[in-house]
Amino acid sequence: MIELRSVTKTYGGAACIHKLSLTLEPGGLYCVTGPSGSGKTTLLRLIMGLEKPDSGEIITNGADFGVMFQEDRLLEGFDAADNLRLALGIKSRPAARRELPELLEEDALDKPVGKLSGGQRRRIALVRAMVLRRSCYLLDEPFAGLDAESAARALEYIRRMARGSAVLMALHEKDIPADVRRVIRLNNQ
Amino acid sequence: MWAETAKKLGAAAFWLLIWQALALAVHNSIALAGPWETVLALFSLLPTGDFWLAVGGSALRIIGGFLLGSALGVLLAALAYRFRPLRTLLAPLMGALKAVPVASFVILALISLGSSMLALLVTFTVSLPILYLATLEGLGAADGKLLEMAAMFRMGLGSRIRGIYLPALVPGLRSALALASGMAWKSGIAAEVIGQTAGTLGNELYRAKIYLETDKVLAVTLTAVALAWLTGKLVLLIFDLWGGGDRD
Repeated sequence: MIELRSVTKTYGGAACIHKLSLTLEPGGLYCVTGPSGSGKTTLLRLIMGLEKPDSGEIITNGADFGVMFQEDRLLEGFDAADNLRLALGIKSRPAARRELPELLEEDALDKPVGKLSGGQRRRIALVRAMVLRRSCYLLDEPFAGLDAESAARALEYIRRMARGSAVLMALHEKDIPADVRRVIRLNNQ
Repeated sequence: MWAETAKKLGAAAFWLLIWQALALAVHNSIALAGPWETVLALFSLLPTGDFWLAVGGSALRIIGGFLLGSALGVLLAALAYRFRPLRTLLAPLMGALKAVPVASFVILALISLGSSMLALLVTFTVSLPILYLATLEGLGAADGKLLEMAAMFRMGLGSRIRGIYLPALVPGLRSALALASGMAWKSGIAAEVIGQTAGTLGNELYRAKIYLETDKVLAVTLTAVALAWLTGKLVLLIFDLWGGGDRD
């Protein structure tokens, strides 16, 4: 379980996150939404430990994270399987490759990721975040650049892979699934 | 590709013609030997054992110094990138190695060490700062966002090197190796001339100068240029094979 207690984070004197309290429970699907610059990414980065809150407390209880950044952050000269191998320490290339076809087309598997479309790169970043068992998954705009059908498949994949773990996704309002446990609306708290 | 090769050959032929025309105009083979005389002098050197001993002697010292300097430059840069105090400590030394004239090094080394390992020491000191600075700059240019990703995914050192640092390093390191291998031959031969190291191309140059054999000076120079070119090509070939490999 991850707990945020009255967390505040300011940028340039303005609070983008103001006294936010939140509990991420195992098995729960959570979303954070809000306009551009409202602090969605900052919230995820605070939980990841990449930024410190100005006040308040974040208790992660030793949770380990599967993360998807706002940018793909893939290793450009390598194909999808090597991206998984290098980032996740998977020893066998066939094992890494087997994780991909569910979300990635066959003809994209062996190309360097630098030659793939934005949507394909996004899906590789999603697989990289989800493929290892983690207690919490933090996904920053996982459906960016995906068409409706791909986004639906990606959501189904997230649900299946994260079963039993907490998932917090930064999403645009229109992408929020109906059955989320809680939606955090920044700027609209 | 053929058109490109033809253009390059055409350019080389143009300058050879200029050289020949100048030699004809000067009409004094001591002041300026022409390309034909130079080729003849080279052919007269090729069958002699002394020439090949000189080629081997120079190559061993110059390439040895270049490889040692390059390897240590990369290693020190990796350590300096990791440990900032070491970077601060090494900065004046690298600055000095870069700025001190080769001739000063040669004379200092000649006084304290003698001439036999002079070229090795000089090429070592010339290559070291070039590779050190290029490696340090390449490591510093590694993408911060990828490094953040690596930290989140707890990527191992080997994976970080292969996936993040090497791609950032390769372009600068490639140029630095090409530059350093050329500089090594230039400075190494100069050291051999000043130190009159026996059994080296530099010494052959020195002897040819004493006897005013300008054609031989140019023939030895041509040999050194060819060896420098060959060294550069070989180093880059090995670097590319190594850098582009292991994608199983």
